[in-house]
Amino acid sequence: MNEQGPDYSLKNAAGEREAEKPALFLVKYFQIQEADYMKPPLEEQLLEPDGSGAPAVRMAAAGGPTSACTCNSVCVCVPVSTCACNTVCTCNTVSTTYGVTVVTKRPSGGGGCGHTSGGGFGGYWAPCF
Amino acid sequence: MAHSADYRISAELFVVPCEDMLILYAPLKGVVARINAATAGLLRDLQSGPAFELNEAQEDVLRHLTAAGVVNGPPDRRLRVHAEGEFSPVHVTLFLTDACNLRCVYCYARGGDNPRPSVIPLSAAEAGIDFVAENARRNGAGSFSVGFHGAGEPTVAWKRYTELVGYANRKAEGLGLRASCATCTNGVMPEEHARWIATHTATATVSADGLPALHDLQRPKASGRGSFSDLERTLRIFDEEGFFYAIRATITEHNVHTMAEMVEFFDDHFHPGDLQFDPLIFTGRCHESGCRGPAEEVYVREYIRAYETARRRNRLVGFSCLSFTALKSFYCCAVSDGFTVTHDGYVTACFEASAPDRPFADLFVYGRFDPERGQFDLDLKKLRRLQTRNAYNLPYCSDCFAKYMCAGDCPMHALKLGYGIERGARCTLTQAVGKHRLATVVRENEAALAARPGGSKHE
Repeated sequence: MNEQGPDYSLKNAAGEREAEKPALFLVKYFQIQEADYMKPPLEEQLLEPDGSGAPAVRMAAAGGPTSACTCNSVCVCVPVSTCACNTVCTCNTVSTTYGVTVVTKRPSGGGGCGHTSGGGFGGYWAPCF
Repeated sequence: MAHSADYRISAELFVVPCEDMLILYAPLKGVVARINAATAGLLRDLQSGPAFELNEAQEDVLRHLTAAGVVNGPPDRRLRVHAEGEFSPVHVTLFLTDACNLRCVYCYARGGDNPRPSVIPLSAAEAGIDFVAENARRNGAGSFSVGFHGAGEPTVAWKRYTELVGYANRKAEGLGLRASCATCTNGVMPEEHARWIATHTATATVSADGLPALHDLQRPKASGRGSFSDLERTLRIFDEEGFFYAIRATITEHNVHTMAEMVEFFDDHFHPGDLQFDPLIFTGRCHESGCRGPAEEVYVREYIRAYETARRRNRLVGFSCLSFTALKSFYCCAVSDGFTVTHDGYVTACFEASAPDRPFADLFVYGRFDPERGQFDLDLKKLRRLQTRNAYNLPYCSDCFAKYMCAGDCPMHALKLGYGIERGARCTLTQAVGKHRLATVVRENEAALAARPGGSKHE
């Protein structure tokens, strides 16, 4: 099958650059590790462009909740005492508005701490379960 | 005056209309930005148009994108794919039995239908554990994990289940490793079993389809009676023991309109770590029961309502197609290092292809345990072919903003629905929900900014 899917690429973007003042509200949304018990740490997911940097072992430490939460410095997702993350939580977000730069924390928001999704049996490994 | 030639796009960029916004999304740079059409045009022309001079406002926008690495930054790093290296899994899934105490109306595996159900041979299961434990020791992983799953209800084979949890722990201890056991269960079990699981294993996913009446409708016992009261008792025990579990609901045409209420119900009465609501794919026992999944637009609308209900409670509701905050190049273990030993001793990459007579099993069943030699015979070439199916190798997905959210979605679902293996089957759902999540990120951060003393709204 050679069917082509939807095109959200830049080459297909509509808009005239001179038609109005360009606007930007930018969120540096850190790609973070979900609490999925099979989830490799981000640095283990990412390879350098040349393919280097691949660790020999792909899987992170397995396990459910941990009492040694390390996200207390920045995490506002859940109370630290209930946090089930296995790694440093990076749920804080750096926001940059056009002309103004600020740092904000998102109140929770999609992973990193206990209230994520898919962290039971399957999680990252078998997301249907 | 600055010139466009001074700038180059250094990220894979998508321009996504979301609700009333236009969003720039650079997944591999972790950037989400609300833009307008002029910014989209600026970036498009920067990438592919003839050179032009920049005005001050354009230069300012590019300065911010430069700071984020989207412009003039390093190239995107590549996500790991799983075609490299020796096959050395450190997770094994064990299908303990095809017996089941429920007769869920949509069961893909038709659990419990076999009049002569089998239980996984101890030797095959232990060999599977030995294999991943040895891999973990050799690789220096520190731990390995064992999952207990279908095709029936694993806790029905209670003796085998407890034997294998104990075996995994002893094996780990002997090698100086940590074993983590997880169970996918329907939660219908004696009280003492629930307490044992809570105190001897790491985590579980419990299937629960929502409000009691609807749960009973969709997940009856073999006797035809409802199973909710049994499930409720198990969840209470898990909560008493502080056990970490996820609730996974199958969303059908019956319960789709109650998804938001399901969030409230589960959150009010139990303490699950995670919630996941997945739409039913018509398969297995659906052919007899007639149970159908929700219409796509209805699922999307209700999922968003459930998601927002959950957010107000500081929760998330997952959807298997949408890994938003985690980067993903492959959908699941079926196209990675899936190592699942079934109750008949077969080795499969996909949970749904649990035996050679299952649909599309020839693509996914890649080995069998040989009891004579006590070893697995594996056709790793078959696995390697599956591993090439990832977000980088699916032309259909190449220009889709959601390509690293779903990584091509479930190959089995795509096959069953006649799409072939080269694309996902639930693109409309994934894109709609993905757009909502992108818009949520922007909205929440704009609100946070506006709430700050001296905060500023975007231009």
